[in-house]
Amino acid sequence: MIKYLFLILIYLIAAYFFTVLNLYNYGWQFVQPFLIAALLIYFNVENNWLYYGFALLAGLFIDSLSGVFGLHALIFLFIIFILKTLQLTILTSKNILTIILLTILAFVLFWLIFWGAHVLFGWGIYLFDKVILFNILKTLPINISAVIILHVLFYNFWIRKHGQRQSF
Amino acid sequence: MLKDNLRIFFLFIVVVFLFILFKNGQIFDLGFIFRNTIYTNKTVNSLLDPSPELQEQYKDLLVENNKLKNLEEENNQLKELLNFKKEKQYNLVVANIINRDPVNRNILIINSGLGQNIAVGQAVVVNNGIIVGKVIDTSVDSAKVRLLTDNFSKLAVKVGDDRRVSGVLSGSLGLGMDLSYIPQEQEIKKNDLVVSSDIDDLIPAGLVVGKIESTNFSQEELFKNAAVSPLIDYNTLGFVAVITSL
Repeated sequence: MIKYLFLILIYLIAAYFFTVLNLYNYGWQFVQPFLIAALLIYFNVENNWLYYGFALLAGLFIDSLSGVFGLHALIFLFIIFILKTLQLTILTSKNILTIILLTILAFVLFWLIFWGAHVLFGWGIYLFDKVILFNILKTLPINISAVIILHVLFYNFWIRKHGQRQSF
Repeated sequence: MLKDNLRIFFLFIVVVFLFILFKNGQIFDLGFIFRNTIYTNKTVNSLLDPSPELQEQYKDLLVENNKLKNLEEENNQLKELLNFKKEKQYNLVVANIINRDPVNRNILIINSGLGQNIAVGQAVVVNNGIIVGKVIDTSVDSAKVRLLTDNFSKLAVKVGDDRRVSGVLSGSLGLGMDLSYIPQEQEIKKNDLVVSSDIDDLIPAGLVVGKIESTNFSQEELFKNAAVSPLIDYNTLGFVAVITSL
């Protein structure tokens, strides 16, 4: 039961940061708290239903406030699917290097898909001009390091302390 | 494991599509819950109806912006005058237009006069040496300038690139300028540049006046006429420069 409460708490924290960063603007809206949360859940939960469900709800939250409903949810699910497939085939290890690689891949995929959607369908959720591209590149290390640092902290201070496996 | 992953992925994709269908079909809108929780009516109203402080700030910024635009324009004009002075080595006195004659709008009153060596007959220019008029009266600290568009204004000019064609420029109802006394055999055409000639001692030759707008001649008359349009709008002049010595 406590694990579900924990998931809800992470969801609420992500929603809080998402709202604050979007209201604050100045390029900070390109930090993706929901994707960070979805990746953290994915790396630390072994139950498929939980991390796919979390990704779905995280995407729907953003979609409910954006112009193209469902796009974020689809992209989040797709990213999780790609990561999982990679982990089942090539990157089977769960060491920190794998986590770093997968995190970088996730964020690169995220922006590539949005850029593709913008070019192919003209969905202007993010307009990829010079200023926005600069902001995306600026916040990319923040996004990636947030996932890695939080994951390392959780793994070292929670899971090891409680003698559990890297899973709920 | 791969199959499981694929199965769950497709299942969730179907769920997302169902959500999209439901939302677009207006059966329910999930976003409604979020939007009403996060952005309450109060927030929306505050965005649609900004506070009096913000409105006041906006007005102040609007005034400041306008002031800065004027300053920028003035700065550019002064730079051009400075370049003109450097290039031609004339003595220029920059003066602000403080008033226009209430009866004749083509007479300007400037805030420099005898004290600054301004004398009757001197040329008044703007920008890169575009002549706009002549000084017609001076007092200790002010002077009157007659614009070239004034009916009583007369200026000897030359036309064309080779400047062989001479004529007399006079004002036309305060709106434009007429060029007269051009010999019939001389060729002038539309857009030819009109510049001051070297007849007047106080007015340097080659100051740009305007461009030929249209030409008019008939066999019965001795001379051709042409309408000349000024290169700048005389109604928006803010300051001018007087060429006090050549």
